[in-house]
Amino acid sequence: MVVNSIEIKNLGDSGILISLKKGFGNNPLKDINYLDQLISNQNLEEINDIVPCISTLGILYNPYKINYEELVSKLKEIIDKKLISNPISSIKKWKIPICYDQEFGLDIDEISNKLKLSIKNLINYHKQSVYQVDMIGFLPGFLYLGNLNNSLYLKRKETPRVSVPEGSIGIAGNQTGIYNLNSPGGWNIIGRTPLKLFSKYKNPPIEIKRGDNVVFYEIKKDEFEKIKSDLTK
Amino acid sequence: MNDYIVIQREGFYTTIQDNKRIGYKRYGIPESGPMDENSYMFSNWLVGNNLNSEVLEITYNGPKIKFTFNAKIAICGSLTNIYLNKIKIKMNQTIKIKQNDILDISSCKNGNRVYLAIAGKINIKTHFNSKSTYDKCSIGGYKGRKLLKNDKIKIIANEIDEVKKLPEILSSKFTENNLIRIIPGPEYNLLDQESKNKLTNGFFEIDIKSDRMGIRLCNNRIKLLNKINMESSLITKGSIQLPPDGNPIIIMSDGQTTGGYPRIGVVSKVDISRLSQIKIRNNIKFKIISLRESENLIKYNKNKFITNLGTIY
Repeated sequence: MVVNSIEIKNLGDSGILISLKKGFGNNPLKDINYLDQLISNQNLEEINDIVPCISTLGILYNPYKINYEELVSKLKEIIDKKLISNPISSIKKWKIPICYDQEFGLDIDEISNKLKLSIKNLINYHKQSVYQVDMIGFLPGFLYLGNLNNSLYLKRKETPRVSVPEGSIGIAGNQTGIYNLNSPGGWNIIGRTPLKLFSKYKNPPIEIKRGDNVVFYEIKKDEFEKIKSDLTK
Repeated sequence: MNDYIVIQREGFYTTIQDNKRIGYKRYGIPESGPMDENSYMFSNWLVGNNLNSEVLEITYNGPKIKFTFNAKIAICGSLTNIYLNKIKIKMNQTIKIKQNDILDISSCKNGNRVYLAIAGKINIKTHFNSKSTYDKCSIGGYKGRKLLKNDKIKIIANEIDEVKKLPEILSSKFTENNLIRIIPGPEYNLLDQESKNKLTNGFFEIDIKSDRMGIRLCNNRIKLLNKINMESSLITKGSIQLPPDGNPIIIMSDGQTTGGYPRIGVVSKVDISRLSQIKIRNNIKFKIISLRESENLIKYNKNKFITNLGTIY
């Protein structure tokens, strides 16, 4: 990757957004991870946080320590030097159990009606794909998974739920997402996993990384309850 | 050894906050930290703490606190009546507290929050590199939550002799100026001319639903040129998001880390503290400035802080 292939913009006076110019890089997932590693490795004291998003890299900096122009030229230098030749992290594949029972798939009837697909078909479409983790964000541990089957494209709910239970898996736009905490949310809930993928007692709190692959396998309600109770033992 | 503060009345909403939680946004965990960063910093300076130390952030109505030890404290932020053993005391200066004294903080008058710093450390564990409370996920602070009646929190007190006063030039006058300077956001140009005019000519009311996550604005809906399906990207404290209903939300300390709504503007760093103190139902007005202008204001503030406080965080 070269400096000419990226676009740098300011987000106010304390934030920077880096994206790939059109025509450069065909794998934003890999390229953004690479940029993240390049810049994170420098441990610049002016930078407060680095946040890899879907196809952008967000950077928060301390404007008392450096101004935008100075930081941009520092970043360009880092990217030009390419101190790491390739992204080093390996891609892991996670197999996550999901139960599509109506008790957990809170919107599954509605999804079936809206998409004019039988519940059986929409479950098949949902569990067939190999997803990629596009981003962790919005809320603690929320996973944005890309590569959703086109026939499952559905807008977010008009009125978000006040509380979506932990483990809920939803669809919205061209993504499926996992709520790893009880929280309000507008995604159409298709099922739930009994696994606890986010823990505030672990550091890092979530093992799944941006760029990893996720596949779902269907479980029945009794298996869901069994996994859940085994976890709490 | 037995140095505690004991909460005798909890007040509306008091949490422990330090500078902020750095390095965890990539896991979706917000930065938290004080809403009004300036008053927070001043309170720490008055008691000789590092400027990024933990303090109590007190919202709307204050708590009543008993001290079991001799302490030095300072309170900065919104004008508020504060009583020590029923005698009114001053804000913005170092206050000596004696064992068994009772500090009673009443309602914020011209702002939303006050900051109570105690010379020394609050003896709680750091969670993800910070003592800041993020109660939606029970992270940091005292048991991950707001302070409640009968909470007994251990303090590692620092003996200081110096008594300081906050220089007049630094004390905030919140209500006099509700003009907030903003820098155009990455999606500013999704607004048509009429909306751009409304953004800077109209008055926005601060909605009652505002909290540490965000300041919600109402009474001046802004329309987008076209409805777009935007990809989620970084949002920061001060980012002004425009949801489909047209009522902007300014992301604050506990705000989400990424968002999919257009970021039409970002509040200048120098106006965030003042903005955080503007009371619910009051009006604010935006003024657009360039990044360069905002950076000049930051430089001016930085010099002012360093001249008067000797340091900055």
